[in-house]
Amino acid sequence: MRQPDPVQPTVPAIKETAIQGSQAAWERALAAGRAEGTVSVVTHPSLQWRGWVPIFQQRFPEIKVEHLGMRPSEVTPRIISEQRNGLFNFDVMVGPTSNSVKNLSPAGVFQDLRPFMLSPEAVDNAKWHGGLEMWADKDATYSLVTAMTVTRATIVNRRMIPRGELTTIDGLLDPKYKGRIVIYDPRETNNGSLQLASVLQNRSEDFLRQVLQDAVFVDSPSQLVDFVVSGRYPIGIGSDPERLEKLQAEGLAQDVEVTTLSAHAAASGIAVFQNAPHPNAAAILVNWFLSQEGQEAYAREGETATRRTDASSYIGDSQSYGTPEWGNLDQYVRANEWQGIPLVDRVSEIAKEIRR
Amino acid sequence: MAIFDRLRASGLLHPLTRFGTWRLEKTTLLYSLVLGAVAFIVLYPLWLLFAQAFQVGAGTADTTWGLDNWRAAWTEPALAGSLANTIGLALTRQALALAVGIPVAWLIARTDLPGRGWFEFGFWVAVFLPSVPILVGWILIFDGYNGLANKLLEGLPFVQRGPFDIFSWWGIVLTHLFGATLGIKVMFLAPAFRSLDSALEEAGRMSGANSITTLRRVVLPLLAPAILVVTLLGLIQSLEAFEIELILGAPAGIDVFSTKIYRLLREQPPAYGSATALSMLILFMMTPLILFQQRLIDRGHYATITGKHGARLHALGPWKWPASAAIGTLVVAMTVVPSTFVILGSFMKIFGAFQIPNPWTLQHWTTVLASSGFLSSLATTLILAISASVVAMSIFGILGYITVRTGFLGRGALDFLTWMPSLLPGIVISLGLLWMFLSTPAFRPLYGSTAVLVIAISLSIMTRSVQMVKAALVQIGAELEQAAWMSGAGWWTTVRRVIFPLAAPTLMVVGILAFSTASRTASHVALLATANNRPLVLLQLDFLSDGNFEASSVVGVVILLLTLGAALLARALGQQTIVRE
Repeated sequence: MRQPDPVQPTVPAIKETAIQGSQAAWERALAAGRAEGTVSVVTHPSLQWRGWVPIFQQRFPEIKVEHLGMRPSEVTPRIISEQRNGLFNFDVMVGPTSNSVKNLSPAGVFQDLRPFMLSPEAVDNAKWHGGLEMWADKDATYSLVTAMTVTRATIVNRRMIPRGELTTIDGLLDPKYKGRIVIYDPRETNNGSLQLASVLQNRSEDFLRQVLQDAVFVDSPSQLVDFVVSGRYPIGIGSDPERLEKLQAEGLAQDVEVTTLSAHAAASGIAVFQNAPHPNAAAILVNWFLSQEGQEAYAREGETATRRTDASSYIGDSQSYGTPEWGNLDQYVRANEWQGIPLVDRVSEIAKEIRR
Repeated sequence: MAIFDRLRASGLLHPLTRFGTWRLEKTTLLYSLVLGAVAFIVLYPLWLLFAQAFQVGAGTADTTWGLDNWRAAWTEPALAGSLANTIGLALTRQALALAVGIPVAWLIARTDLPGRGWFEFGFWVAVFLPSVPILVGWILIFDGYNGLANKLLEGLPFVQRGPFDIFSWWGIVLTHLFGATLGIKVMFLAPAFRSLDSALEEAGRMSGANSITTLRRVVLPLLAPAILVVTLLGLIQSLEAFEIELILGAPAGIDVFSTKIYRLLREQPPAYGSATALSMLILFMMTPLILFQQRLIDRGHYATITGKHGARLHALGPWKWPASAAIGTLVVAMTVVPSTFVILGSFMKIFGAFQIPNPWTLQHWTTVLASSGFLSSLATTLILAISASVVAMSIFGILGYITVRTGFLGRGALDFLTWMPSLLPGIVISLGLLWMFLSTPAFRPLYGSTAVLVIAISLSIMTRSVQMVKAALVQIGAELEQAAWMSGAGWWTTVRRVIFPLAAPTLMVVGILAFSTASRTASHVALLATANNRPLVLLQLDFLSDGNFEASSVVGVVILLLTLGAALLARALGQQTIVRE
């Protein structure tokens, strides 16, 4: 049944020299960064990506953190416009890597991250699942993947569809489910299109077209969860896991199952902007963020997991999120990285064609 | 010197008493400078956006020039269908809002309706309420699948299936209508009705016309400018509204023009070029209506406040209490029910989940009030809202004054310019402003400051403020100013002692609306705020990004309380002024 992937990304550039780190360089950066006294950081506004900021501020009280939370639709035009007008206000960016790879890196707003990776403890290759150098961009230069979670966001109301039914992805085409599937609008990059990228990877474009044909699109993942919980539409693709878990924690939505019909791997990472105004303070932030302490704070405050082997996972018993099998990452659609982005874009194109 | 010469020399010349001659005078120069400043602040960001719409691959290193954005915009899937939906929804909403709003405003302003003062305030509150939490409340009641209203009705023996489904065309219309659409009509028209000389109505009645005929044949024609302006503003707002359409329309397959623009802006990278190109359609659609409105105001005579102004209230007689009950019910449905939802929702573990054990919590309030940015965001919001009110009542008041009370040749152009900022979506305007501040050396030092946010917010309220002032000033008879001149008063004294007191009720509404809009507008400031000046509305969006709808509602309640506080204060000040006079 499986057909060849419609999109074949090319292999990324490989840097010849591995990052080593240097205690002396790190200590010099520490002193110079403290003298600079300020670091300016942009994150995605969600707690997952900004929760660690106050911890860094406590750790380095002598460096004032100027933090701005911005959505991708805002950060992209702003940073590009500022830099084109010679204004370099920001040092570091932390967030999901898709915006960095698709929009910001091609616009040339980042600089090579390697010179900023100094602390031997932070860049210890053995301390990272999959090795330190996992880059989201094809140039293996700008956006380092620091965390990756497997997201399952296809849910089924088992009060309406018994557990013995719809156990494989092929069941989505069963005529009895026609008009009973609701999808978070896959014409955009969101949990809907990301989950469907997994469907596309494992089946075919024709299969995907059939799934989309009679489905209802909604513009809010919370609304999707509410529709599935009420039974209005018993199958939902692209749910809001936090909303569902909140309902289930209060004893609601007990009939709703998070399925394994589809899953995608979502990466988050760090990058440094061109002409960062506080380069040494930026280096302090980057190295602290990559350290065990930084990654532990990131995971704890954001209730997530990281690639650091010595940082705890705070995902808990979530059905929607999990840690990937590090030795077999190819089984996932890596939706925020150069490998998976073309597949997600293809899903959106097909969805637009269907709704044309 | 004859009175008209003095008027002309001051530039204070009613359109109806123009002389057709023009010479460079101090006031003309001043008005020209104002026109130039407005033209720059409005047109320059629009020009930057317009030029960018011809850039292909903007944002990358391979930018070239071409028509790709325009082609992409105009070949958007199902564009014609979405345009038809947009026009249909907008016209239906405006027609219903006018059909209900005009009589309600008249009852509140011109009759002895019991409770009229509080009813008017109730319509203000409906305008201030945050739209998304209210919408969630309405969905709980009117969801076609498991809404409370249908459940109640289905409990009756003769009802098989409840009739309500909010995820529908009429669901969109009524949700808007019960929100700001109807509220703003009453908010705007009530002061206009109040300015009407009661002698005109009495003359109608003495000629044998009943109340309805008098309203239809005398009152409405005199209020045509106010009604036209509020309709145009409503139409523009209808063309741009997208949140309710997204949530209620998407499951029903109802796409509108604004949701298409919104989706273009959410693409990666955001398709600002195509969104601007698509937005131009709104400009093309609205231009004839704006020109028609200018022509109507310029040619007609709508002065209802004259030297013989009377303000006697019409006695409703036996209809007094039924009318009061009907409007009271409407106000309760529009304000008390949704406010209760929003406020209760902010104290619930899960918004609207009444069925869980122990549904109440203070956690969301604690989260918001203890969040690191709350106090600074509150301060920024207050600065923005107060500044917006001051700008709306002073600068935009002056712009309205120049367009209707002077013979300045450029007043038509000035009026047209004031419509422009509302013809493009806020986030698109915000991008134009970002480019303007970055590329203009004089503005560059301001970049990142709160002053930039004040300018952005001021643009967002410009159209509504100027047009409301304009409609109010048209009602003031020229002879009042002429009498002041005859008595030896100067320009400033005339404005301060004659025009301002007469326009004060409308100016107060303009100021309050500006305060409310400035507190709630995210799109105009999203690209311009920094770590040090993020208003509450951006904090609200941060909580939404976390999926924390309840904490987001808490911020919505704080903004609502701020606006209500300002409205109550303005109302109290207004009443004190009336008592003094």
